[in-house]
Amino acid sequence: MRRITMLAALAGPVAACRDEAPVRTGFDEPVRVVDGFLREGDLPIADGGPEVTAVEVTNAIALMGQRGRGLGGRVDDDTWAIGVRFASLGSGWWIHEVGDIAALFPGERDFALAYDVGTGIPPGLHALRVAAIDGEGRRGPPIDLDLCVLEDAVPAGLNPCDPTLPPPAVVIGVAWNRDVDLDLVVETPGGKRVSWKAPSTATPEDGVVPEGDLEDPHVGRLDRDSNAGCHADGRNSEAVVWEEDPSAGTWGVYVDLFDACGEEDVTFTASVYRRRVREDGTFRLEETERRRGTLVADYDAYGGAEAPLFVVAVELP
Amino acid sequence: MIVGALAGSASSRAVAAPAGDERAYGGVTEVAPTAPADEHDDDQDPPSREEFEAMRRRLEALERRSAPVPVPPPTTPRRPPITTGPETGIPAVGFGPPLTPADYGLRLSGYVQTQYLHNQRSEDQYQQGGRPLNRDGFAVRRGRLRVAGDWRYVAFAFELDGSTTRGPFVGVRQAHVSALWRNPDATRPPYVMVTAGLTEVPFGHELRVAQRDMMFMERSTGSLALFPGPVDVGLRVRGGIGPFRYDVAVMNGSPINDVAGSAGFDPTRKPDVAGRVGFEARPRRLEISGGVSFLTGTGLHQGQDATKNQLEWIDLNENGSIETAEIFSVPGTAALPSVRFGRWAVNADLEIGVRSRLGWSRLSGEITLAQNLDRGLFVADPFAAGTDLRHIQAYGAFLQDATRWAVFGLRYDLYDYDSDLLVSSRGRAVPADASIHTISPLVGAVLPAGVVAGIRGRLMLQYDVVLDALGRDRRGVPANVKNDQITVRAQVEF
Repeated sequence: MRRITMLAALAGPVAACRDEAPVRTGFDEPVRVVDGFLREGDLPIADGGPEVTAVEVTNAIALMGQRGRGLGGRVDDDTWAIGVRFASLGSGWWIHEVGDIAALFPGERDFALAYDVGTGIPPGLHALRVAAIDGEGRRGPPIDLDLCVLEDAVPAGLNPCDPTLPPPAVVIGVAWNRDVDLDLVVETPGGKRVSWKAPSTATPEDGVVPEGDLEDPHVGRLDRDSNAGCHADGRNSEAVVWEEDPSAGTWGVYVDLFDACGEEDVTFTASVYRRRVREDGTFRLEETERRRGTLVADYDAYGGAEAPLFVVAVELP
Repeated sequence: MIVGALAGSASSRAVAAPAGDERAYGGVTEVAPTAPADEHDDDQDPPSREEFEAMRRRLEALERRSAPVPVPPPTTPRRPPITTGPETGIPAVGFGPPLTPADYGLRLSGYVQTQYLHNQRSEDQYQQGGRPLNRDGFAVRRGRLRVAGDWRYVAFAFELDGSTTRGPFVGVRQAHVSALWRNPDATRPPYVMVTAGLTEVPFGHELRVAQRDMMFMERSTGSLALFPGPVDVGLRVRGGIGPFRYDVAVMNGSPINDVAGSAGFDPTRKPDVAGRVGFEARPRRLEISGGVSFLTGTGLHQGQDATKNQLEWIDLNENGSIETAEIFSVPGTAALPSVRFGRWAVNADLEIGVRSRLGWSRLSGEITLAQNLDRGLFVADPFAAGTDLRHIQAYGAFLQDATRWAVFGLRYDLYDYDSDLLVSSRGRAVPADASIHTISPLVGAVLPAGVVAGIRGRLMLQYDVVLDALGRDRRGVPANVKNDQITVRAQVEF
C-alpha cells in the first residue's frame, strides 16, 4: 500500500507539469507551413497584443496543392512566433518562429516562411490569416490576405475567384487516384484522337498543325501529360480545354493506362464541364457528365499498344 | 537394452548394449552372434544311463540356481515402420523416421511475443516516402526459434526471429559457435569462452539481458538509440573466475537492428572494440552484480554521388507557369567522399536483488557517456552537425515479484542525444535541453514454469510517459510532444 501511495505521489507532479504539444502532420489541412507546427483550435487573444506590421507575398493566385509559396514580413518586437491559417478553413493555427530584430526597422522583427496549399479546398477566394503571437502564446489582431485558390484538375481560369470572368466553354477532364501514367484520349467528330501524342484538336496539314490554328479559341488543347514516364507530378489529372465552343458533333472520351507504375489498379473519374451564364450575367462552369471506372494493371497497362478504353460520348457544343 | 539369444540347449548369454548403441539403433532389437555349441567327441564311449541321469539332475539343479532374471520389455518406443507406395517406393507418409533435436544432442527452444500498442502520435496518414504514420495495432513483436548445442568444449546457437513489426519478416538474431574451458562447477560461467559469429555486444547490463527475460517491453530509449540491436558480428572472449567477470569483443560496429526488417552492412573497415569487466555474487538471499564497460569504434559520414547537369525551374512569381527567367542550369557535381569519424562510450552498471517471501526484488541502473554513437534515434553525424555529439544515457529500474504469479515494476530512463544542442529562438541560437525522459510503470501476470508442462509465459502491461522537447508550443518554443504509449504483450516460451 505504501508503494502505491509513493507511485501516486510521483505521478501527480509529473502529470501536473506536463504541457503537451500534440503533433500532427497536418497533411489534411488546407494550408501547411514548412517547418511549422500545427496547434489545433483557436489561439487566445491578447488585447493590445503584438501586431503584424508588414506582409510580403509574391502572388495572390494559388493552385491547389502548390508547394513552397513564400510569405514574409515584419512583426512587433515582442512577438515570439507567427501564426498562419485560412480564416474559414482548417482546424487550427500553424506556428512558425520569427527572426531576429529587423536591421532597417527598429522595434520590429522579420519573419519569413514557406507554405503549401492543401487539396480539397473549394476553389475561389479565401482569406489567409496571419497573426503575431506574444510570449504568452496569445495572438494579436490578424491580417487577412485574399488568396485566389484555383483547382488544377479543372482549368477554369480565374472564374472561381471572379465570376464576371468567363471560364472555358468546354472542359473534358479525367482525374485518378494513384500515381500511374494514365492518358486522356478525346476523339473528335472527324476521327482525330487528341492525346499526349497529338495534344490539340487542330487538324494537321502535311503532318504539321498550322501555326495559327493553335491560337484559335475553338481548338481544344490538352493541358498536360500527367505522370509521364512514371515521374509522379502530384496532379493525377489531364484535361482538354476549349476556350470557345468546339465544332459540332459527337465527341468520344477514352482513357488509356499507359503504365501502371507499379500500382495494381487505378480508379478514374471522367467529367465534362460546360460554361453557363447566370441571370446576373456572371459565369460558372457546370459539370454535365461524369463517368467512373477502374483499370487493372494486369489487363489494361499496355504502353499505348492497345486501343484505349471507351468511357462516354458527348454531343458538343 | 538387453539383447540375448539362446544357443543350444546348454548355453545361453545376455549382452547389454552400450547406451550409445541404443541411440544409434533407435530401439531396434538385434540378434547377437552366438558361440558354437559344444560338439561331442565321437571317439569317446557314450555315457551310461546312470551317468546320463546324473548329468541331467546336475544340469537341472544348475538351471534352477541360475534361473534367468525376468527382463522387462523394452520401454523405448520403436520407430514406426516406414510405409512406401506400392509402386514408387517413396515413403507414403512423412519424409523419414521422426527425430527430435535431442537425438543429436541439441536443444530446441523459443518464444513468441504478441502485443497491442497504442501511441498518441499515431495518425491515419502516410509520411513523405510512403511510410505509414499509424503506430497503433497488433503485432508479433518477436517470434524466436533457437537451436543450441552445448558440449564439453564446444557450443553453438542459431536463433531465428519472425516478426510483423515492420511487416512480415524473418531474420537471424543469433548465430555463433564457441570454444569453452569450463569451470568444474557447472553453476559458474566457464573460465574462458571464445565465441565467433553473431552474438551480443558486451556493453553495460541492459544490452546483455536476453530479450525473452526482459520484463520491460523494450530496452530504454537511450540504449535503443546507441545500440539499435543487441547483437553484432564479431569475435568475443568472456568468462569468469570467482566473482569476477570479463567480456571483450571485436565486432563490425553495426548492430543488427532489433526492429525486424532493417539491416545494414558496416561501412567502415575498422572494427569496434567493446568490453565489460565486472563482478557477480550471490550471498544467501542476495544477488549483486555490476561492472564497467567501454566501446571504441568508428562511424562514417556518407558522401554524395556524382550528379549530371540538370535544368531547374524555380517558380519565382508563384504563378505555376514556366517563364524564361525562371529556368536555371544546375551543373553536375563531382562525387563527395565519405569521411570516417570516431565514436566511443563508457558505462557503469549495478544490479541488486533481494529474495523475500514475496519473491525477488530487483533494482538495477546504469549510466553511459558516449560521443557520436547514436545509431538508432538521432543518428550522429558530427560532420553534418559541425561538432561532436555528446550523449548521456541513464536509467534506474525496479522490479518486484508478487508471489510466483505476478510482477510489477517502474523504470525511469533519460537520454540526452546532444548535450551541446543549440536551437533558434527569435532569430538567435540559444542552448536547449534535448533530453528525453521516459517513466514506465509496468504490471503483469506470470505463468511460472511447471504449471503447464513445457511452457511458461506472462501477460504484461506497460505505460510509457514520455517527456521531451520535440514539439513547439504556441510561442514556437520547444515543448513536450504528446507521444505517450501503452503496450499490452503476451509472451509464451517453451
